[in-house]
Amino acid sequence: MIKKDKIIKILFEAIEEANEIISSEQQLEKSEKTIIFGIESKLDSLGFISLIVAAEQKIEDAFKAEISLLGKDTIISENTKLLTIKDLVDYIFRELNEQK
Amino acid sequence: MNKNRFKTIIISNFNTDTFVNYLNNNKESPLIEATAIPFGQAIQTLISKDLNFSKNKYDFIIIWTQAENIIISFKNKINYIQTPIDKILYEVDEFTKLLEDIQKNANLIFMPTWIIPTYNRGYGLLDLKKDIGIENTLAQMNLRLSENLKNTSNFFLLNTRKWIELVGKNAFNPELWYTAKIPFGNEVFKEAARDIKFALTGIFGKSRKIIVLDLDNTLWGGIAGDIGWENIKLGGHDYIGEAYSDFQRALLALKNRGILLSIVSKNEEKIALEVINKHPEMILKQHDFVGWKINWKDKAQNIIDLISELNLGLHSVVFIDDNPTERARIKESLPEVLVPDWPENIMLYKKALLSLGCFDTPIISKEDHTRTKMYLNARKSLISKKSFKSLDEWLKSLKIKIKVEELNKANINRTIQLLNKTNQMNLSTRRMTELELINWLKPDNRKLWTFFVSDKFSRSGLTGVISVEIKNNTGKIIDFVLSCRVFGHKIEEAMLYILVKYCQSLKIRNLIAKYIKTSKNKPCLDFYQKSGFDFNKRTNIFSWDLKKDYPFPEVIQIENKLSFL
Repeated sequence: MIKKDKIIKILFEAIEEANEIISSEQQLEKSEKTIIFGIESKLDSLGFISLIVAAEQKIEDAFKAEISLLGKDTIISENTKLLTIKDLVDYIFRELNEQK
Repeated sequence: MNKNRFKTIIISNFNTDTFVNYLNNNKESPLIEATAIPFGQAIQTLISKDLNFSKNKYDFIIIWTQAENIIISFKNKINYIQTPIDKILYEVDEFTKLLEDIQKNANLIFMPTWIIPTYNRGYGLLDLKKDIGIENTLAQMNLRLSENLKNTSNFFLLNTRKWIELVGKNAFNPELWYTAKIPFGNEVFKEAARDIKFALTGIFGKSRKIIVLDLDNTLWGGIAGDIGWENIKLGGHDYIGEAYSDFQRALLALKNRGILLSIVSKNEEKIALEVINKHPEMILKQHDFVGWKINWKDKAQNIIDLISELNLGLHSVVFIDDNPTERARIKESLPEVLVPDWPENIMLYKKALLSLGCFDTPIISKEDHTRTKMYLNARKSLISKKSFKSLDEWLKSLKIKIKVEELNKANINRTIQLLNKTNQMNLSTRRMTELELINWLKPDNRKLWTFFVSDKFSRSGLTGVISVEIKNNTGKIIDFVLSCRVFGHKIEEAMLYILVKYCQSLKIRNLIAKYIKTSKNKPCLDFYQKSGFDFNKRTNIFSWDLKKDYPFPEVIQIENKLSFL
């Protein structure tokens, strides 16, 4: 059974990994409230992509499931104003359950 | 160059921003401060002569390109358009000329080799076939680059394929390419950074020289003192025994490369040496170790004693022990010693050893292959010292000879190695690349001599370097470097004698030496304080009035004739 706690843990690991490759001004806090997209986010587009790619790889390794956050069914739509880690957790949770 | 923080610029035709950030964020020593030119500007940057890559601005340059965007014929090749290999290699030669222009004005250049994504199967079955395969062509291109640049001393190709293999399936990430023009997964940049840091450590004289090994459960399985040498696990038809033998073979290979092996073990010496000398499957023999401390004393103290007997510094030591408590003890008490985390599983020992990057050096010299022998001979001569009443009497018995040469093609590699590796008997700890040294020596008022040392026990080889700059009637010693293998043998005095004679032949008045303190070169200060030179404590300058001769140490014989002697 897929648990949200596990997804949160994986995303925090992805934040750790992304923090290694994003600039010092963009460093992210490991919190569900952390804003990763939108006007209030510290991340620039490269930082955002780095985080998402790290998250995808870790989700794939942990759940043996391919999940595409930047592909056809992207988490970002024209109407997306803001995205937090919690939103990402919920999105991944839904996607993984649909794949089951 | 002698520092712990390096400035670099990355020239690339893809987006290296994440690599730049990783280099800047990574706090492991040495620290790197990185910037990059805008991506896609690689060729323009290399062609443009007015861009300032001067030595003062950057300590090193990284040139990381994708072959298909630099070598146009290769792009055709990838698209299965028939392209003669000669045409591709001609373009590689042209690209090399651009690199050579930059190389002449740079301190140091690293260039990761060209690679294509591993998911591209190319011609599949035929991909390594000569004149057909894409991988075959790429291999030839990388070899051509290596061949073209083989005589440069400040240009190093780095093995990208190794990073790709270590990272595995995430090495290439099309998402990163399409969204950000980054061809590699982030882990590849981490491996690249790791290799570059090892390279900087080696180039600037901080590579490790000696491995201190534990015995029981490290070199063989079991406690020899408890079960007897006949019953230890080593070799034979047993996978554990085979893994221990293999680990010993890997250590022996490192010894052949110039890394010294030694033992610090809590054991009875007699029992431990019995295993080494009697067990038929022992790969390492007693003469493979330059020294040992096998007793029940604290290992930290034993390491200090052993390393001091060998005239080495703790910063040159790697300590390998299966026991995590002993490793923690050494890590805590001797922070300069490198104590790698060691696997519990013996089958991973060889892998752990071969993964260590701390032995990387920019040059392999003849001396590297015979280093253990030279240390063993030094040990023999030390034992013989005990039977003599005075130091001079003992030194005389050694029949020490020196051969003095100016810098030339044959000795430049070893000279650079000595300048960049020697820490203790080093006046100014000036680190230089080959090109920097050649350029420094161009003006007529600068001279450098190398010293080859031999005695009745051994040929220590090129172990001393002295250089001088003459200005305003004064000679200033710039480099005064002597390998720890021979210091204390009055070679130091002979070097000063020769330099004084040279300066007197120019009819100048003074010879001075400015001591530049580091955490490791106190032996040099100690020597100069006893050398007879006057010392100004405020300025750290030693001086010699050239009206006086410098006394020649009679225990030394100079083999060759020098015009000014």
